[in-house]
Amino acid sequence: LFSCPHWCEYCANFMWGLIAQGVKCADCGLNVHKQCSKVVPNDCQPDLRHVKKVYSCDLTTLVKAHNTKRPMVVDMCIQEIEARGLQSEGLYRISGFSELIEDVKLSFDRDGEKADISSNVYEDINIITGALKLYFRELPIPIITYDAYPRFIETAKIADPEKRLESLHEALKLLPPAHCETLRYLMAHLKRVTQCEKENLMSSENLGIVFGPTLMRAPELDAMTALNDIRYQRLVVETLITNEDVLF
Amino acid sequence: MPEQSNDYRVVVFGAGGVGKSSLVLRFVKGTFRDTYIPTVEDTYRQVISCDKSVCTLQITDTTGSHQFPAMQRLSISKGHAFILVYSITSKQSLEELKPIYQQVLAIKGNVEAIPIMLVGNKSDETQREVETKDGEAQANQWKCAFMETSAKTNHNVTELFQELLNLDKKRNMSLNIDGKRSGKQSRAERLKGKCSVM
Repeated sequence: LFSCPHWCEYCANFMWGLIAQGVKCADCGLNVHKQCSKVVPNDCQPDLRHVKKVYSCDLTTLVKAHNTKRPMVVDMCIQEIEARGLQSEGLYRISGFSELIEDVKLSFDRDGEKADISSNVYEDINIITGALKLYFRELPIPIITYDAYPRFIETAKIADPEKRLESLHEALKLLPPAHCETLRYLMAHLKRVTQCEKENLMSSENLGIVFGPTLMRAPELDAMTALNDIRYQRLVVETLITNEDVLF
Repeated sequence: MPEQSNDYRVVVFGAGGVGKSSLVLRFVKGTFRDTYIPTVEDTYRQVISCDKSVCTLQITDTTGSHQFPAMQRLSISKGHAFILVYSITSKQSLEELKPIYQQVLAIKGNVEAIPIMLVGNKSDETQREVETKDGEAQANQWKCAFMETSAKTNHNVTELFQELLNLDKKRNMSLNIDGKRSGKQSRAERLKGKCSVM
């Protein structure tokens, strides 16, 4: 619905009528006739003006709009956490105060890469870890996409460790490039977290429990299956962390 | 999973790492493990006496991070009594109970008739951040009971559960069955009907 006259940006003809003249791409703002929209190539470069939020924005859309390899939330939070040190006990397990985590989210939504998450503003490291976990939870399509989800769960059911790695490697290929790259970066970081296990007590198993449902969500909302899957999710994430170097 | 009508359901809430599982395991199994493993959700059972007959005390040990609000709401709506745990070594862990309490209030409507116990765990620790009187003040404000415990040294753990059962005025419950054998039938099982994770 356009309030003033518009011309289709594909066929250049006038868009007739008072209502429902055509459609607008939510990512790049392209206006076209409904009929034309079917033939417009699906490769838009999302315009920053139309990508208003950072949290709960599609991951691929976000990195395309900002022209980065990974979502800036992921890069900035991980860099901040590593700069502060990974020795904090219960890193990623202990939750920060939820109001402050919301605050971090708001500042990313508002300021993007200019968001200030330094220790002057957020003293508690668990606020940063909480904000990062929240980012993954609020993705409309989880980092391990709904499409690829069943394949990942299947890998966890394979007993032979060699074969499991192989099929996990195959499953990773199903992820969109931006998802895979973000996952790789996160797993490398979590691996470094486990290397400080003596201090932070977070083994790859513990991180698997914490991150399993954060990174993977069952496509259908059947609660029973979703619950049964939790231990497989844990196993998938645990395997990804331990074998991060060979898998990616 | 069929719902047993004579089950009495207690739900344990609290921030990550405050010792919810340790408290429950100390009570149910009488042991303390110095390991560090986050909980998804576990349910334990213990036989108790209620109104002169035997019933099952079902204790739900929840995850420390409120990542799955739907799960939390389900636990609250199904729960009869609640234990809200913080660690005396972390002021923040007490702060984090506030939204949980608000949620119990919102779902149960009137909390006056519902047994709620505010618990300051890790009372054996010397690096205290929350004074006993601060815990008491919070409990007063919430009109609930208060206790400090240590799952590690087994201080006040059985007392906590007995006191919680005493708070329920509609039933007459005791941990002892006919004054002897307190059921050691702890059966930990992952409850498949609901779950949540940090």
